[in-house]
Amino acid sequence: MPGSARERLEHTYSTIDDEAAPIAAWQFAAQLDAIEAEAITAERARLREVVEGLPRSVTTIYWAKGTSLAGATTEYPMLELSAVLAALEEPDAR
Amino acid sequence: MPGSARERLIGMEQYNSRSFHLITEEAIEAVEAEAVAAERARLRALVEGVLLGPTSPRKWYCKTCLQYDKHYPDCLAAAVLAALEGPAARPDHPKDGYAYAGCFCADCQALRLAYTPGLKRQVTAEGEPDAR
Repeated sequence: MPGSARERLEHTYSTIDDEAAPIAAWQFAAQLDAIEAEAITAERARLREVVEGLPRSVTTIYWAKGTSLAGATTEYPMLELSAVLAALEEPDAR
Repeated sequence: MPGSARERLIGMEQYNSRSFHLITEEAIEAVEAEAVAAERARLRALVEGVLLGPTSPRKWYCKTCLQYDKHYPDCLAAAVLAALEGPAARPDHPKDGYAYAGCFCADCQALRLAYTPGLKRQVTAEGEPDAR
C-alpha cells in the first residue's frame, strides 16, 4: 500500500469497525500527533546533546549599525558547519 | 493514563482484543521514524538556510585578494542550539544591529568581515552585546 507509514496506519485503523475501535478516528489521529511530537522532541534533545559535544572555536564578532562598525566586539563560540550537518544526517549515513 | 503517547495508544489497543493486532508496535515505530526523519531534514534545511543563506560567509571571497575562503564555514553555536530548541526558538535576523565575524584570509592574511546571518544583537543590562 502506498503512502507514508502514518497514512497506512490511519487507513488500517479506519478498517476497524466502530464497535471494535477503542477510540474514534480523529482521536486516533490525535494520538499519532502526540506520538510524533514525542519522537521529535526526543530526537531534538539527542541532536542537541550531540551538537553541544562538538568541539568549538572562538570567533570575534564585530557589531555594526548600517555600514559602520560600532566598535564593540564579542567573542563567540563557533561550530564547524560540516560537523553540525553531519550530526543532522541520517544516523546510518554518519 | 500515565506514560508516553505511544504507551497509551498501545495500551488502548491491547485492551481491545478485536483491534490490537492491527495496530502493531512496528507500525507505530515506522510513524515515529518518519516524523524523526522529517524533523532532521527540517533542521538541516534550517541550518543550511539560516546560517548559510544568500549572505552566507561560505560564499564570500576575500575582498583583498579575491580568494575564496575555504576555511570559513563555521556557524554560531548559539544559533545552531537555538534552532534545535524548536521552531519558535529559531534565531532572528538582526534588526537594530548587524553582526560581522572577523577572520583572516588564509591566502593574503587580510582581515575580512563576514556578515553573520541568524544573530540578532542583544544588549545586556551592562550595555554589552549578549551571545544568547
